[in-house]
Amino acid sequence: MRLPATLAGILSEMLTDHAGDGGLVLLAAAAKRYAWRDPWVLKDLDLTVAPGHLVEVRGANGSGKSTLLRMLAGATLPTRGRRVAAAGLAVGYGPERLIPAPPFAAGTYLAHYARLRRLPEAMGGAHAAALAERLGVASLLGEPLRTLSKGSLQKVVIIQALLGEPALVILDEPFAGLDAEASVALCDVVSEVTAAGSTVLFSDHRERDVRPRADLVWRVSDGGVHEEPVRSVAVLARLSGVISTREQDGRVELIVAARASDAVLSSLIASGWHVTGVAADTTPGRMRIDAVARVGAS
Amino acid sequence: MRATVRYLLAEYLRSWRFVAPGVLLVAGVIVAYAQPPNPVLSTAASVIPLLFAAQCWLTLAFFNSQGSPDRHVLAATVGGRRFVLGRLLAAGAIAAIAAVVTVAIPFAGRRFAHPPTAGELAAILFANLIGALGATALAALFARPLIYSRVVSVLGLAVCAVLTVPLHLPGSAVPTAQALDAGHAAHVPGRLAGDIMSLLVFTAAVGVVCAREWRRRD
Repeated sequence: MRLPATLAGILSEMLTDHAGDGGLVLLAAAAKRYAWRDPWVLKDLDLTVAPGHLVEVRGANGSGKSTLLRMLAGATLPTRGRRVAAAGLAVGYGPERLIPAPPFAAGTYLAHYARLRRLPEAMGGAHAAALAERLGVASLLGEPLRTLSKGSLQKVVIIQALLGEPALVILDEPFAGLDAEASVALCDVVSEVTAAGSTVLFSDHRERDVRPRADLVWRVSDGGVHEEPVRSVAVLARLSGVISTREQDGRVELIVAARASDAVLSSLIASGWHVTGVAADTTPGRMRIDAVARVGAS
Repeated sequence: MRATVRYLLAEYLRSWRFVAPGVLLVAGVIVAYAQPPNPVLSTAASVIPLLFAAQCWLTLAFFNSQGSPDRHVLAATVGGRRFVLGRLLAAGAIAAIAAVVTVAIPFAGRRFAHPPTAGELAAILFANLIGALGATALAALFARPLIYSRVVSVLGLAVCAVLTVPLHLPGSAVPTAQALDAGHAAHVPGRLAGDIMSLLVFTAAVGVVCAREWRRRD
């Protein structure tokens, strides 16, 4: 009786996405290489994607960002180790390039993906149309994907990934090829999706003026993933002792409890902020700290 | 699952990659039935190796018509189980269509020596289905994402398909054709029993390989 039980276990492991504890996706001792004797692209990764975060994945070309995102999305499995996903997790994945493009018109392609996400036809169509309007491709939905420009195809890919507001959205280099207007619109959409409770992971190998304010930054290098300090105001607001934050024109003003001001100042400097002023607040027992993002810092 | 199969089949149809193997199959069937008298079971049996070869090509074309990024998006969207089963079911649907077309052409063109009985038609369809599914399972092992090189894929598949003849493996084209060429339709199911068993075992093994390796190799 042991053989059938073992076989059933193997089949179950191969055919199911496991339920995870807590996080949306967990990589446990995961490593990836694409062929036997090839070097490992990623190795010994222990990583959890928690709900409600906006995560930016950074790294040089060829560092393994796309491989990491594909593994987290479930598009590819680790060569060694495990990927564990929460039961029933809905994932939206937008690759860097959809080439060769599927032989559909953009609207037909999105309708297929709405069906694949089990969205009612009207709801899927309305959501796709609304996103297409915001990203500026509404007039191109009747065009074949293969005739779209790089930027327009990228927008359709992004819309596909966002359809139905999946709990985990993974976008590989979503800003590559987007014009400034669409980049701003995408930032807004990503912020809204995150605010609604979804986790968004996006990669970018370039520093850009316009991009969403991530509350976690993962840097991929040497086959590993390292968490970096973040210059996000949302993160600052969560520091112990911070009473309020206000952001204007790239400058941040924090009101902090006087007893915590040293710790807050240390955290600010460590996470890439340049402190431009420290003064006593009008309210006794409080300090006001002014800071700007340090140029060139991560 | 239906949406996954529908997406994959729609993509395959619009890619037009089925045309060349489809033309080979249809033209081959027409030629095979061009010379009367065409006894029902034996002529249908002679067409099974052609169906096997065409279905290998149809399956390769189906699995290889989907680009890697598109495959990644689909796998991420529908999850591992639906991705694997959806692809296998879609390939099975193509095999079923090829099996039906192979018997429908001579039937519609009245090319058989006499109008086939329902039992004969069922026997032919059954044998065609076994041959086509065997070809599908074999070709899946040589298609993307398991094998990316077109040369390795085509040569490897051709060698394996040819090797099934001298090895006389049940479930492959020649034994299935011989089982169909029984003289009487009532004898066909019994003669195909071994093929069914071996086809089930082989298909299950291929399913396990695909489920385990498709996303790991991608």
